Formats: sequence, C-alpha cells, structure tokens
Amino acid sequence: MTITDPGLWIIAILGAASVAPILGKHSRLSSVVASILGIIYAGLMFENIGISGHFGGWPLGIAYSIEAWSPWIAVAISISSLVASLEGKDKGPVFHFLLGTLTAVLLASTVVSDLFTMYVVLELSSIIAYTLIAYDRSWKTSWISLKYLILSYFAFTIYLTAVGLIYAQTGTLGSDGLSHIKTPLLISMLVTPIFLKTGLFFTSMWLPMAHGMAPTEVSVILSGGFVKMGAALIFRIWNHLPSSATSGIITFGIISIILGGVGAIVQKDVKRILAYHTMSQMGIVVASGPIAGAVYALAHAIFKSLLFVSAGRQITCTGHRNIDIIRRDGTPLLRWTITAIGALSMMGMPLTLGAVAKTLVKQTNPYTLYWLWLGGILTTASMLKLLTIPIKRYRKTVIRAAEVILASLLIILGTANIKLDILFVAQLLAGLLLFHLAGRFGKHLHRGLIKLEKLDNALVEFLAVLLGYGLWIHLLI
Amino acid sequence: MIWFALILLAIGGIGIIFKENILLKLLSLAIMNAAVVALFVTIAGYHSHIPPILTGISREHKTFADPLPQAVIITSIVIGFATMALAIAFAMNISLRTGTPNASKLEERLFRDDDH
Repeated sequence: MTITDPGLWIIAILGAASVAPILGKHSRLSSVVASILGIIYAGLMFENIGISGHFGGWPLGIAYSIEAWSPWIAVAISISSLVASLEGKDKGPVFHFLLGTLTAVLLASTVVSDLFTMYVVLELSSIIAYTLIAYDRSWKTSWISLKYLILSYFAFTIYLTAVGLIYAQTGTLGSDGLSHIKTPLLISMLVTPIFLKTGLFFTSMWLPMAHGMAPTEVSVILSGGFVKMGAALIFRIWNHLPSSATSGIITFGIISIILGGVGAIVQKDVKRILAYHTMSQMGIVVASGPIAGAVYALAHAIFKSLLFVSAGRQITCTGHRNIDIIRRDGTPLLRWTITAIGALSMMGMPLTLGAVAKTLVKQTNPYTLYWLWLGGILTTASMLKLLTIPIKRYRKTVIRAAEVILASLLIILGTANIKLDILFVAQLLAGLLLFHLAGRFGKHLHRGLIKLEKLDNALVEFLAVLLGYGLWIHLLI
Repeated sequence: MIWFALILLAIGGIGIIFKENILLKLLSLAIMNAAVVALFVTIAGYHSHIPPILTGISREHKTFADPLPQAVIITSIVIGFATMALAIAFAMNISLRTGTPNASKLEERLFRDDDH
C-alpha cells in the first residue's frame, strides 16, 4: 500500500488524540488508538521509502520526504508512546490528549524536510514536553521544566537566527540548501540546538533531572520517543553537511557515550541512572550515522521503555528511589526478571535485541567496535547495580501487560543473533571490575555532575559546545 | 540592520546567563525572540521596501520585499507567545510554593535532596 500523504496520517493521529477530553474516564483509549495508528503508519513507511512531495500542494505546501531511516524512528516513537499510554491508567483526559498530540508531532519529525518546519516541530513537541514533565504541578517538577524551557528557548532562538541567515544566503528553507553553506559558525548554530533535543552530554544537561523526576509514563515517552526526534533531525541534514561537520557529530556522540556512561555509574537515584544512560545510548545512535543509528534507536526505545516502566513500578511499590535502599530491601523474582531482560539487552548480551542492534552498527562501520565496547563496559558497570538487587519473596507482584510485551519483543527479536561474542565476556569482566571500583571515586564525580547540571552552567556549556563545534568545522573544512 | 538584530540577540543571551531572577531571565528570552523577529524583517526588506501587495497598478520594473520571511516569522511569534505564557505560569507556581524567584537558590534546594 502506498502512502498518498504523510500529512493526512499525522492529522488522523491528531484527530484520535483530540477526542480524549470527550471520552472522560475512557480517555486512555484515544492515546492508545493514536499510537496504534502511529505503528501502522510507520509500517506503511517501510514500503514507501524514497517518496517526497508537498503536503498541501506546491509551492505553498509543507515539503516532506521519507528516507530509509524514517520508518525505524517512527516505530520507536510509536512503541514508546503505546507503552506510555498503556501505563497511564490513572491519568486524566488532559494527559492522554497531550500524549497523543506529542506522538503526532514526533512522527511528523520523521518526514519534515525543510528547516523552518523542523523548528516548528521542535518547538511544538517541546511545549507539550514541558507540560508533561510538570504534570504533577509540584515546585520541583515545575522548576525542572522551566529550566528545560529556558535552555531550549535560548537554543532555538539561535537555531532560528541560523535559519534566517541561511535563507538570506541561499534563498531556500529546504534542508538541501545547507550544501551551499560554507560558514562554520552558521552550521554550528543550526546543529548544536538539535544536539540539545537529542540528549547528548554537555548540551542536554536538562535531561537527567527531567527524565528522572517526571512521572514514569512521561519518562517513557521522553526517553523512548522524544530524544529520537533530535536524532531524526540530525539524520535529515546529515547528507547535506560537509564531512568535517559529520565527523564533529560522530566525535561528540563518542564523548557523550563515555561521559553519559560515567554519569550513570555514580548516580544513586534509580531513574537518574537510566536518564544518564539515555545520554550514553543516544551518543551511540548519533555516532552510528543514519541507517544503523535508526535501528539502534528502535532497540533503545524498546529496552529503555521497559526499564523505565519497571523502575517506576519499583518506586511505587517500595516508596524509595535510592538504589542503595532498594538493594537493601530486595525485589520480587518477576520484577527482577523484567529488569534483568532490559538491562542485559542494553549491555548487548547475545540472544537479546541489544546484541542484534550492536552487531548491525559494527557491520556498518567497522571502526565503531572500539567505542561500542568501551560504552558497553560503562553500561555493564552501572547496570550491575540493578542486576545485583537481591531477590526476596513478596506477597503480591504486579506485572503489567506492556512489560511482558516489551520483554518478549526483546527476546524474540534477539534470536536473530545467537553467536556468543568473546568481546561480551571481556566487557562483562571489565564492567564487574569497574563496578567494584566505582564506590571510591563516585562521590566527587557525583558532585561535579550536579555542578554541570545547574542552569547557568548548562547555558555556558551549550555556548561552549556551539563555539567548539564551529571551530572543529573551521579547522577541518 | 542585521548587526542591530544580532547585538540585540547577544544582549538577551547575556541577560539569560547573568540574571538571577527567573522573571528577568524570561524577559531576556523575550528580548532574544524580538531580536530574531527583527532579523527576519530585515532579511525580508534586504532588496526592497515595497510591500508585496498587488494593487492593480503596474509595478513590473520594481522589486518587492520578500514575503516569505515575514510569513514564517508569524509562526515563531505565536510559538514565542505560547512558550512565554507557559513559562510565566511555571514561574508563578514556583515562587508561590517556594517563596523565592532566585534561580541559584532554587537549584540549591533542588539538588540538596539528591546529594549524598
């Protein structure tokens, strides 16, 4: 089946979301339908790779094109949105309306192809994200959300300035106009704000607090779907950038893999561990380049959604967020199994989806082997914190349908790779060593990370990356 | 004129980084947004200031102002308005509950529980 217009699908998903206020108690239905429509749409995209056009007719319509990586990102977004809506059982119509709308906007990000519509998609999704993060209206989440708002608005004003200057030089807003741009700072002003949404270290210091403190359902869609939008937009302009700019993106991705992994090792809050992992994993996505990166993004969406749902259930059951207290109290066997499947998949254990995705990344670019392995060691060291929680007998364990579906997806899709990798064994041993050493240097690093996360410092870090990236392109061009 | 817009942008940026009060930070954001609007209007009138409206009078040999930057920047103004409204609602909620609009004090309170 061919897609006549991706825009019509986006409108249909928006329509499904907008009936949420009418449905009242059954409003969850609308966001579930919206995400299922999203999955169908993503499935259709696999058969329509390469089509492009103008939604609304040429020349006034909005330009779109479906690239080879688009369907993978679309599936990732839809799956995490489905999990979030299934989990949001006790949330009201407003939540499901916002979630459905966010899904539609995020899906639009996989097809938009001009720089200004990219800006609109980024800002629109961000406004919904601010509201969702502060959904419980406490001062803490409001402040986290406001911090994110200030950072992101600051960055996108710079992005818009770059778009204006590019338009003045090339006379087009299309992403292909970027090929004619030779000013390093202009490229940097355009790409660095997208880094902020992609969740890379230094530019996205809003992420650990926002993903860690938001309600669990919101963490799922933010970590599973929202950051993928940034990756989609980077892949969109990837081929139009000079090679010095793409090598800069890869380098920055590798920095994010390492520092995000170190950040996850020293955290104590169980959801903040996962949030720092998002930074590290998004580094892998961005550094792998368009196709392999998009497939890895799908794998990441599945295991990260599972881990966040599981961590959220753990927090509601025990009332504690601190990993030391959770390890003292223990966890029931079923909950441990679910967490372990997600954690092992993220470590890239054979027989799980994580290994399949990592193998694909290695096949696409052979030189990725080294930093994937290094990232794997850091992931292993921090995931061992979750894996070493003692198992205890509890009276009642509740496992939700979404968790079972995600866990079985990880295993079933993982059977594509059954080869035992000697590198994985080495990674496991090195991770174990690092896990035992982490206690000694953890405290100082943790303090340092908190300093980096503060608003004023985060703004300065963003500007430093912007200038540094501009300099990188200038030196290598 | 482009330099005027860029200087205004820098003033807004400096305000965001160095002002402690949340409301002053938001005001600086609004200045940055206004600077971008000014930039786009400048780009639109780069070649000509004649408004691109057909009035029936023959203007065949004249160049018109570019209508596209003005058309797209309206979207940005609307987005700016919505974001600012949301930001002020957050700021109100925060200062009512904590009694302080000072950003660094709020950061200290936020991370105090997390530090170990």
